[in-house]
Amino acid sequence: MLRKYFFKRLLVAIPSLVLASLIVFSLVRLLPGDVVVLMMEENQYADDIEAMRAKLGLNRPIYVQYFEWIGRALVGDLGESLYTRRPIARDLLTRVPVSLELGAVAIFFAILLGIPIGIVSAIRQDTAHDYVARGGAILGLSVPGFWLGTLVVVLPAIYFKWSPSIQFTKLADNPWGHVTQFILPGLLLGIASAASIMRLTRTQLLEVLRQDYVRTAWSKGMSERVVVLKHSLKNALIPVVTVLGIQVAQVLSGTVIFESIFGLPGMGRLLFDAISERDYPVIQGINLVVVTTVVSVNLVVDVVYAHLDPRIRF
Amino acid sequence: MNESPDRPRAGLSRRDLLKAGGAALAATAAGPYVIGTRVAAAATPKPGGEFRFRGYTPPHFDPHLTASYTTMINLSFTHSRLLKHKAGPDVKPGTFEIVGDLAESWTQSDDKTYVFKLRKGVRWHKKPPVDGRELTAEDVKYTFDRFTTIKGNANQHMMTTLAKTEVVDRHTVKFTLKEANAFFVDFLADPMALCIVAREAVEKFTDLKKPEAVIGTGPWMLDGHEPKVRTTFVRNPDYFIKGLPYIQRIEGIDFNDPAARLAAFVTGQIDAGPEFPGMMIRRQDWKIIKDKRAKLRYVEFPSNVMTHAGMRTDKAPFGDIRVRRALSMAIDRKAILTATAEGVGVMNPPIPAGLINLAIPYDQLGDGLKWDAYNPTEAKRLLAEAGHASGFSTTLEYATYGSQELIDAVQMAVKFWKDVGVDVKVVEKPYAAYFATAYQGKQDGMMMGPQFPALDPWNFMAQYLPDEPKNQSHVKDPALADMILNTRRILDDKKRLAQIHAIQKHIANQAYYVRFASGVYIAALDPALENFAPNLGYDYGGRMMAAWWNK
Repeated sequence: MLRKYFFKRLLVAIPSLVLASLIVFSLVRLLPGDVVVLMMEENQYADDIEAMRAKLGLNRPIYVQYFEWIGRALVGDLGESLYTRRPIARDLLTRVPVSLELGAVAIFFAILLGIPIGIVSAIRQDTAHDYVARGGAILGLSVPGFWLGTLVVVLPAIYFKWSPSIQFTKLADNPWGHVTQFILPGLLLGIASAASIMRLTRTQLLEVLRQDYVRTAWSKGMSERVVVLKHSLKNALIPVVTVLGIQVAQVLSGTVIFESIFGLPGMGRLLFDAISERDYPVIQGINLVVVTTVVSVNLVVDVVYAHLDPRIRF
Repeated sequence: MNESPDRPRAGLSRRDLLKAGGAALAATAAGPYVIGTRVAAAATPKPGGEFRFRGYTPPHFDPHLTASYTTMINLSFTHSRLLKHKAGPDVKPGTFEIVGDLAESWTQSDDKTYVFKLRKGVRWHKKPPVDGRELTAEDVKYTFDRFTTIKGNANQHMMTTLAKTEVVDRHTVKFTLKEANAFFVDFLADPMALCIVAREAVEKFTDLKKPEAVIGTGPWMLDGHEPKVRTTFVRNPDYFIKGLPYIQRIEGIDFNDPAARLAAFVTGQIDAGPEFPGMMIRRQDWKIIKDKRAKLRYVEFPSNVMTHAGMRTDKAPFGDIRVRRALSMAIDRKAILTATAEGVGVMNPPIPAGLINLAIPYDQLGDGLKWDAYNPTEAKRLLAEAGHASGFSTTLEYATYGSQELIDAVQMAVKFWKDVGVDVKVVEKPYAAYFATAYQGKQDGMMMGPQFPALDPWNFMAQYLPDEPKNQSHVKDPALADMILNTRRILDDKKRLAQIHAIQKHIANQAYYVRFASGVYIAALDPALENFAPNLGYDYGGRMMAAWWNK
């Protein structure tokens, strides 16, 4: 049954991906002005404008361009960077794992902080714990990540003569150093997501805790731990899982800032540099990877959702 | 000119201006300010150690296919040129004495012929396919032929007067020019383009873009390159100057967040100031750095980055010299400097004051000097005389360059022009759009922005030639063009400098551009780094070559 549901969702995901690829493909072409002229004159990417158009394949009908691009993308060929002349897919192979690691650490912290604090906040509603947790969540949502990241880098340097290492450590060189370098940026990147998850967990749990079957559990003399963790939490977490899927997209966009601040050579920093260098095949390639990741994660979320609540089949 | 920031004053008299410019120039003429602790020099240099600096990831490594400073900085460690700029603690920042690099000696037999004797026993890095063979005159010829003929070389203009390169013998090469060009040797020493490359590397790799193709004869060899992470260099044991370089390993760490750079420098993760162009710190960070990282050595010297406002002198109202002079006199440069650079800077003649051997001393600008003095009353009078008693409206195109200081300078300039009745509408453009239009004089009214920080006078003077793309003010002044073109034919250094000074006086008097002051850089260095001094330009490797760690 679940397998059938998975394939149905997969069929829905394919048009989403096609639409997204069309949007990614069209973005550069919708920019006002002649972007080729700008790229050409600023960066001397080709000998002349026509050579530049030919290099980018812009001298052919747009549908030909699209099918050729998507056809190559399907076999893992995203083209070549105009700036570095390296294959984009090869660069992404080294960059994507860094961003995924950072994203995974961020989501880990988001769950680690968001769900327990949300539970405490719900079961201690309108107490000091609740107020502090809710206040903290508002702060976490409203403080810009780039500001927080900058403070965390600069203030310890000024007051304690310590700052996170600016040198990226490879897993093969130093596994412990490699893992620990993601902790601080991952924590900061995860804060906003943790705040969203905390607020949603609290709201959902409060709603579940007021339901009849929970009241029955209480009346049977079950402990708070059993009532909350065993009987209430699973139901309360269903919308939280959905939101987690959305958080993945947010976390991926957040990597652009945090990878720059913490010197992590991930996909976010590659995108940042590609935008500065008007390297549009790279921008296009990264966007396609991000879109595919987000659609895939949401597909997984849908399946997990169905697993958590067997009634859901849409 | 070291002053505390204070509130902008109502005005700056000509006397103030002379004092300000004069003081700054006097300071630079006397040598850089050196502040902070310096360890006692040991008698014998110690080889070894590692130097870590803020590095840059280049688009690629082919010096003939890009004008990017990121490529040139990296290649300054690995490649040699025929000539180079002298480096070391006795060199004043802003001066560029030319000395031999691969060239042991050179002679000029007539106006158009240069003969260079190459050092013997110079070997390429021991990397395939060149594998440490000896460098010969054929390599030099190959490099110059490639430089002048390859498509897509943005620096080709440097060698437009070169007619042919000939191999005289294994270690002698002859250059014949189409016409006399006194700046020819300046270009040969320029760290921006003319490093000597190996034919085999080009043939094996098609071009020199890949890290594997970085094979030179320089003091260090490229050891590793991780884009946007780090680029490392190791000492070349077969470098042609025996015993050099002293430092075993160089690591350029690429990180682009200014806050992270400050933190890394304060905590000792890099050995020199992290800001562009070369081991600088931001003035606003200086107090923090002084407090938190004691015993640093600081060197201050004026920047050669000059911002100016250009205007369409081929159109009304800017064709009228009275309007141009009024626009210049309307600007309170001191106030802008105070607001944007904590009041520390130098007034610029048409060649930036930072190039101290080329810029005319500011107080010798003559009649042109008075148009730089803040005098709104006189500016209004001149505008009225030119038929604009009630002012006029125009546009000013610019790009922010990501610099708050530049944004502030533009806003203040607009305010000062408004004060004399000139209503300037600011058009902010993305950098690329600005670069493709206003930077090349394709604007309707005015433009404003920093200019390319060249080390030679030609780059600054050429922008007054009618056909030059960077002639942003559309200057068509036949007398000036003659003077400028004539400098290439004056081979006597003193006479040429006198001509360059005369050109600057003429330009200042014509007020073709509204020039603004430049900031003063602060280079910050670990005091244990001996035999090193910072300078303008991208020759990081050349300056590091004889440096060593005294710790």
